[in-house]
Formats: sequence, structure tokens, C-alpha cells
Amino acid sequence: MRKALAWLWFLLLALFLFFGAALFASATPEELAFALGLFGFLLLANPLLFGYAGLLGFLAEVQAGTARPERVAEATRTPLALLENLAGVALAAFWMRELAPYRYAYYGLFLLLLLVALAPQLAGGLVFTGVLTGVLWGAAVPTVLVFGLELVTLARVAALAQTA
Amino acid sequence: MRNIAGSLVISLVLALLVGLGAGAYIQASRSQAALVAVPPSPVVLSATYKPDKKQVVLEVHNPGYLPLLLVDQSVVFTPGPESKEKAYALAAVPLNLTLPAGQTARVTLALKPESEALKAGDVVAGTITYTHPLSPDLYAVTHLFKYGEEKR
Repeated sequence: MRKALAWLWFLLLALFLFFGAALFASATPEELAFALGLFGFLLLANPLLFGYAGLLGFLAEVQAGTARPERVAEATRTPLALLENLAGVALAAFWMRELAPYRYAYYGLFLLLLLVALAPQLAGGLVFTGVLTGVLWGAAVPTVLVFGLELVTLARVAALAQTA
Repeated sequence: MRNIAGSLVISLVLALLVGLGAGAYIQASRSQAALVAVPPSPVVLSATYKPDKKQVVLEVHNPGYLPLLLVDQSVVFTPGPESKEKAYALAAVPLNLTLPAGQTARVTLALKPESEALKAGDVVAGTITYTHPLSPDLYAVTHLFKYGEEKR
């Protein structure tokens, strides 16, 4: 079973590499710019994506009544003694405060990129307009992921705060 | 936002919009790359005769995505039934005009200076030779201008 799974993974990776190389070889500069924006901003969004995913898992535990403050203490690097007697929603608020600087940095950089990409379009098509637009569209994909996760987290926290 | 279903719907709509935008952008860049690889051919939009200067002015349009270099022009004059002028040809008058992608330029075909004014039925064949960056070859486009004929 393990061996079969390993072979399947290997096959999948080989296929991925093959088609990735084919795409890379036939890509236009704009598509490479798109990939650059996508992976660059995915890296930037990494703490947010994993943070919100962990927070959503923690909120599910809170709803089920099996939440452990240790998880929040680990994620936010706060002393456990401070968190032990807090309700689940308050713990979630600690975690969200931990993610806030990443959020501001991420949205700030995306806004900067948006301005930089829009400015030449408004000025009437300079040399790098197409490439910058590609970077912007690539960056828009992880931004939507971050924004959606953030919205869902806020909605879940609000729903839990109403029931608690 | 307090509603989970609402958050999901907003995220989905945004994701669709971003996917649409990114897909359209990639498609546009692909088709532009494909179009740039097609060598252009100039199109003569109009020809007008200027009797005072003895010129036929051609409006040449470059419909492609590559610049064209118009190298030289030739004029072949064929007299109609009303003309007393003899047929003549002016070959390889240097032009050296760069026609950028998607733009229109005016090319003046100078007729023989000592010739009479054009009469109805006279035919001026203007040939423009051009090159494009994808090939060192010389290409030619010939426009037949029949004087006194109605435009279609």
C-alpha cells in the first residue's frame, strides 16, 4: 500500500514536472511575470494562509468544545498562564492579533503593486505595462485566498461570539 | 461580515472575477504573441491624384504587430484611350520609410515631371517594396490606380 502510494506520488510529480517544463518552455514573458507574481505573493501570504487555516481549525474545536489553549499559546508565543482561563473567542482574538501585522504588510504590498501596475496604464502604456499587469494578476490569486480565509474566519468568530 | 454563507459567496464571486481576469490576461498575451509572429503585409487604403503636383498619394496601412520598412517605390504609367502620353515606368525610387505597427503612412508616387495631367482611363500602378524584421527578403505590394474611375 505504502509503496503503491509512493509510486503514485512519483508519477504525479513526474507528470507535474513534465507539463511544468513544457509550459515554461512555451511561456510568453507575460505568463512568466504571472507565475512570478503568483509564487512571490504566495510566499508572502504563507504565514497568513497557514495562520487562518490553523485558526479555523481551532474555531472548529471551540465549537465542538475540545479547544486547548496550548495551541494558541504555541501559535502566538504567549505564556500559557495568561490564556488558561479565557473563553474560546477571546483566544481566537489573541490569534487574530498575532496575524494582524502580516495582514497589513500583505495588503499594503498588494496595494503598492496595484498602484505601480495601474500607473503606467493610466499614463498610456509604457514599456513594462504588460509584464506589470501579469505580476498583478498573479498576485491577485493568493490575495483572494487570503481575503476569503479572513472573511470566513471573521464570520466564524462573529457567529461563535453570538452563541457564547 | 457576520454570515459564513455570505463570506463564502463573496469569496467565490471574487475568485471567479480574479480567475476571469487572469485567464483573459493570459489568453490576450498568448494571442498577442501569436499575432506578433505573423509577418504583416501593408494595405493601401486610398489613392488620390494631385494634378498640381503631379503626384498620386497612397495611404498605406500596416495592419500587423511588426514594423515594416518601406524600401522603395516604382511607378508604371499606362495611358488610357484619351491620353496622348506614352507608357513609361519609374523604377526603384528610394523611400526608406519605417511604418510602425498598426499605423498609416502617406507615400507619394511622383509621376514623370514633364508628363501631361492624367486623363480618365489612365492607369498608374504603384509598387512599394518592403521588408519586415522576420525575414531578409524583399516583398512588394502593387496598387492599381485608374484615374476617373468611381471608388467602390
